[in-house]
Amino acid sequence: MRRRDFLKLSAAALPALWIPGRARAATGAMGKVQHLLVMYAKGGLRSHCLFNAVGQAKHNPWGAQPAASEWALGEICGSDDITTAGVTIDGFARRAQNAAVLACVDHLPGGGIDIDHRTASNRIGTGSAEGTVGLLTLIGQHHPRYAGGFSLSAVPPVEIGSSEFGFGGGDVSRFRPLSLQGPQEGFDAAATIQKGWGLEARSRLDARFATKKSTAYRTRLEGFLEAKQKALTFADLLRDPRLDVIESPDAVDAGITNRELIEVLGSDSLASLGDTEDEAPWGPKIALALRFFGFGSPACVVTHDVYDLHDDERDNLRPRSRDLVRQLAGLDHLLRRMPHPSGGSYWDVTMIAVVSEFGRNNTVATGFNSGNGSDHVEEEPGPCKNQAILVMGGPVRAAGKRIGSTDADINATGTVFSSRSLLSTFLDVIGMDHTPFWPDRPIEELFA
Amino acid sequence: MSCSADPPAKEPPAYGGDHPLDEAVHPTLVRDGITFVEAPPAELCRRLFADLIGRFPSKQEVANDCEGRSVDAIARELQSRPEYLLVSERHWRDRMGQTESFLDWRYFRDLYARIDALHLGNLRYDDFAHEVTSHPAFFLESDTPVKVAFSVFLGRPANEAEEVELYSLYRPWFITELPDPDFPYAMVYRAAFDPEECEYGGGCSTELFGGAELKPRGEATTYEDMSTGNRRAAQAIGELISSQPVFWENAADEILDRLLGWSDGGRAPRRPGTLLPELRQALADWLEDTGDYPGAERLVMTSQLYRMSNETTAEQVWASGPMKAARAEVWLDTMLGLLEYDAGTCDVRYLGHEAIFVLYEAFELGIITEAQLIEDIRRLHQLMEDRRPFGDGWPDETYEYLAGIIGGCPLTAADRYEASGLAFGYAQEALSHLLCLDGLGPSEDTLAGEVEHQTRVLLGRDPTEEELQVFEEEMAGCTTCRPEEQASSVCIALSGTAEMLFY
Repeated sequence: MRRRDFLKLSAAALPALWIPGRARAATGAMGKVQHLLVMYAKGGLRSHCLFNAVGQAKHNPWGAQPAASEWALGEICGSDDITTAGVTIDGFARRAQNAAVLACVDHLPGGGIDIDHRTASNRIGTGSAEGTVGLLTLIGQHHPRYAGGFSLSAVPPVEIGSSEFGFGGGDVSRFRPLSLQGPQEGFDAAATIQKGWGLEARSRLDARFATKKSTAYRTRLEGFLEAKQKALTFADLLRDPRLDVIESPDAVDAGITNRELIEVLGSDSLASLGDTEDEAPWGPKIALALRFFGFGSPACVVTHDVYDLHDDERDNLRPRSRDLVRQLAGLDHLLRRMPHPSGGSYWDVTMIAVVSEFGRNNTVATGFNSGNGSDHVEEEPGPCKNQAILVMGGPVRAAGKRIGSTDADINATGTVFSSRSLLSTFLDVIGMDHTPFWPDRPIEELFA
Repeated sequence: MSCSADPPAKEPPAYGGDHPLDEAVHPTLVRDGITFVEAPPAELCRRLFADLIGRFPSKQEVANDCEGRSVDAIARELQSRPEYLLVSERHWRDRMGQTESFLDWRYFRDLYARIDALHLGNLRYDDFAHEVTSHPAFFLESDTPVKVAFSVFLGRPANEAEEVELYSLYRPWFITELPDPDFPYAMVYRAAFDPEECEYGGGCSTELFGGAELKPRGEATTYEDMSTGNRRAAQAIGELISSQPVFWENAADEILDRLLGWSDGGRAPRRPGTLLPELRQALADWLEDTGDYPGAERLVMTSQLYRMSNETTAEQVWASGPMKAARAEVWLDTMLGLLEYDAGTCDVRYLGHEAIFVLYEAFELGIITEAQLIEDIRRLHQLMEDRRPFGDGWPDETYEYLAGIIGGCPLTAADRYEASGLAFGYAQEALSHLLCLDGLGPSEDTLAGEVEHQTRVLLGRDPTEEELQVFEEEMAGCTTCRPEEQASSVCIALSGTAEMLFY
């Protein structure tokens, strides 16, 4: 074969060739998102009642609201506006057209069902049932922003409430996100970290200790010493009043005070919304996430573990849903008003998604099980398998659209996306290639 | 042109000792020109204490418990302490990945009694696997019991075909809700076994791995009422698993990984058994012959690879003694022990258990009064033998909270992390500040006295002249330091050193 013929054949074969870094499927929003906010409604959110409210009463006993978008907002989300000291802000029912919904996100499309909290949580947080490296840790390890490691100018990903998204043991633990339980719990301890005397002595002892050890262990020790040093560095950042969203109401970032953030997002116990438990709301944690974005963090997962409602769902899913959609309305309102350092507003460069480890099923005609709740079982798997995932933010072009569909039993009747495709999308939009981790393509339809 | 053959490879000098692991690695050590340098007593004692009883020793303990004694004698003595059983239970809990439990707490007490029996040398390792894989606290907690059984005992999860096929050996089991024997107003989930499921429910047999079949007899009963014959029959899956050669190799791997911990940060995991397969084989063979799990741990601890100093200039990991990251509990137990602060422990048997909430639910439903609730919670706590302190009617979860923020007391194995990373560095630093508020033990008048005292209790040795000087210099150069902060500052400095977090 002559060289010219060979080249011709190769060119013909090109579309099928595997070219790392080029052949991967990227979305139209690749790298356009500077801040990714994942709201992890942990416990198994009955998401089809909120964001794909087409189910019959057995699957969605609360019904749907009049359609303002292609997808159906659940009646359970309410239609409250947000009242602050100065102004009334449109609630989420009036803003539903600003969000897109993926009707069917399934861990095992076309396959079985994962009903185990542990493995399903691993799937949504790490990409596999037995995964040990969470999405945020992958970002900390591989995002180009961190080529020089974490620093004050490259603030790490953040998890507010620890979850599988922050997993990473052994040697990848150095890439784990900054982890806080929430604004109320994080700062007392942080405030005591000092740079007083004794620390210089310690670093000299440490250097001596590392030098004496076998060279085989040196890399690990040096990684640890670097991390300790960074901890002192970030102690300064964590003392910043802007992050103290509750106790420093006058602190301002991007033109919004902490007081305004909390007024919009809320901070009252869910009991004030009629919840039978004295559960904390999402608001302060979401406010904290926004503040970390202000310091440049590219990704934050906020975990709110109040959705495993085997009992009392009839009473408690309503306040917990109203609180959740208040965050979505609040984010829509706030992000559009917050100027971003790179130009435009935070809305333009932020993507938000609401996820859980699975949906819920095992209900009878009333819409509930015998405990007035719902479960996660293998029978009638549709409502448990097919999570309705809400996605919004400036880069999301499919706002108002429903992508995929179900019947009234919440069985898929259209496109089903794998949960790893969703994770690929998260990586893609913040400028990372998903292919080293798993092959599932990012969801282009959100940005078409 | 003439060719000359390579000179014949020199046979290494014959191994002259009687230690099977040393014998296995002898050719490698000779080939690599590695000279055995025993770690000094303080280093070795620290390693043994942390590995076996989960905390670091003070200088006084190094002198009393380690100096002048053989490693075998030290290990045997430490393995006879109750703390050894607690540490061993933690390892098994991590391996079994038990999360928040809904089953009757009595099953957990029973399961962990078997773990204790294994580590007391009263139960062979293969018999342990047979009992555990057929124990409700092991398999009913998981929706994928075959997968967990494979992960724990064969070192890999079962694939889908294996899972489907072997699940039939768990077919007779089901869960039933019955009144609690001690609190009859409350209902608890109990395990039950129905032999008829094997006869009429699809069969309980497999062709995989040489085949096995469950042939139970009689009526359905709860686990505790099962006949001896049916209990024996239910162990078929464990027997199948333990008949695989990799069963022993996996056990050897776990022990070697845990005690030698070969991982260097850049190229991890470097498992001893994959780098030196002859080492794993020797340990697996010894364990298969004896079934003695704590004995296998001692075999590793008395080997040259464990006893070597980790202060060398050699490149190969097997050329130096192990250096591992301390688990969160090791650091925390050392600190809390010195502070004489009883925060209890994260009791592996009952962490996240909902037994208390079952009682609380009865109160909410108006079945019992508040006074009875508090009284019954106290009684439940005593029955459970829960090791956490008790206050205000509830078990004290301070320890779980403290350990949890530095990667300890995990709900699943993947939740555990060790000394590395920003999150750990930050949290550990904050904890040092919290626990060191008043120093450790009685304060000394002089800075040198304080450094000496705290180095002895934390690092198990005397400070060097250079170390004393470093502190003196820093203090002298500090214009804002106050003498009353001396004890606290030295404590913060030393408790956060690499030497407190790697051993």
